[in-house]
Amino acid sequence: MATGDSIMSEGTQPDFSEAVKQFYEPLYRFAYSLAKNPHEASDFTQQTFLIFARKAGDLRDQAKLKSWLFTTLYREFLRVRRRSSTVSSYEPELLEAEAPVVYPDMARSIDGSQAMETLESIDEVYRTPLTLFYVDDLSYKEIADILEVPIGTVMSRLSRGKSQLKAALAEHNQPSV
Amino acid sequence: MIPEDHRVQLSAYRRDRSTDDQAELIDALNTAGDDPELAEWLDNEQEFDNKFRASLAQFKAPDELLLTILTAAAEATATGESSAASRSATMIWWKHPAFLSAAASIAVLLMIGVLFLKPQTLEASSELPDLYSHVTAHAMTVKDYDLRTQELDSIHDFLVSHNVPSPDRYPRGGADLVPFGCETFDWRGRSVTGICLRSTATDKIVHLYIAHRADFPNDSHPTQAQIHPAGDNLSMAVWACNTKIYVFIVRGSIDDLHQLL
Repeated sequence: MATGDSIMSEGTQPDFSEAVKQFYEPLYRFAYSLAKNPHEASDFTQQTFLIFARKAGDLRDQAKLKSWLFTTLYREFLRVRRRSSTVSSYEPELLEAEAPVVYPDMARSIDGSQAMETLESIDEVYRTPLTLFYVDDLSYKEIADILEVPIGTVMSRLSRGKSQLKAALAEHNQPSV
Repeated sequence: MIPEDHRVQLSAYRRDRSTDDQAELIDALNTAGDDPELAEWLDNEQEFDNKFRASLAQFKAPDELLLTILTAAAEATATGESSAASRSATMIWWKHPAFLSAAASIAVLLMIGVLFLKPQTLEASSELPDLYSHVTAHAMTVKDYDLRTQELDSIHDFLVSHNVPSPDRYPRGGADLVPFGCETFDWRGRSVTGICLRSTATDKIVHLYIAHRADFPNDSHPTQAQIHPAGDNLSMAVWACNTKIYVFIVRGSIDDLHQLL
């Protein structure tokens, strides 16, 4: 599990190169799911590591490097978003009481681009925790810390997000996947 | 019928994780142990999650992103950009004037060193040094490719069809070089082509820039490849051949560059 322990030890400075190599891929996926385009995703990923390069010494709890990086990227995204437009706090009601029937095999035969495309179709309020959940195995608590919402809210959004994800997969994969 | 609260609590549960910080899950997990329907639903959820996670992991970052991050972050920290500058930044950092001007300044200083301290290897010219510094800074930025492809033939066809400088030959005949893509841009009214490639033999990222010799009539054009350090762990070779000027930049030592020529 990539917690950051392997690249930072107590009382030492983080190994920047190792941190980049370990986390740039999941951070890029998270950034892409937020920005929905490769250029901004690259920019946000780079910006995150630039901040890390400057502030690595301030990171007291070294075991939280992964959460810190995702939090930093998310805040950068919100900062840029706030400046350029409005931030949606819209949380749509889930219309379906039950998630559509989706069998595990439906997720097996899609490639990375299709998975990201499907994820992009999810409402942002659910997509963000869902992406954090899938891209780097973040726990409920870590996701809650990054998004600054209670754990119960994370659980609720993940559940609803997965329902939307399955509905999108079911729609895209008919009749067979 | 699976209770909705249990469905919500367990939808993203993972068996390989501790529940120490997830006390809400304990009751639901205990219920799952006694409820075959809930247990089966949970198994399916876990399997679905694992497969979707595996699919999403196939979505890769651009090949050059890793190198760009390492290069530019090192440059930015070396130039001592303050955190206050970062907080007040209103654009992406590598586009920040402070970073670009610092990178350009370094490149210009290096080129001055190259041109005046080693006049025997590269004669002074009126504009080529500026072009060299420009493409050195350009090589450190994220590319906005006009064409993204791994086929050299596709790049050739694209450049020819757009009537922009196209390489007549690649270093080492291109045998070990696989492109990421190409980009063309205007520099002081001249058309310049940039191609980003990876050497499969050395796993180095290299940048090849091409311009027309005729666009630099007042400059001396080195007909033999001349190799120079070009900044923090960057090496550059320049040469002219037939009607083109080539600038070849690699992240690495001069020895690394030699291996690629």
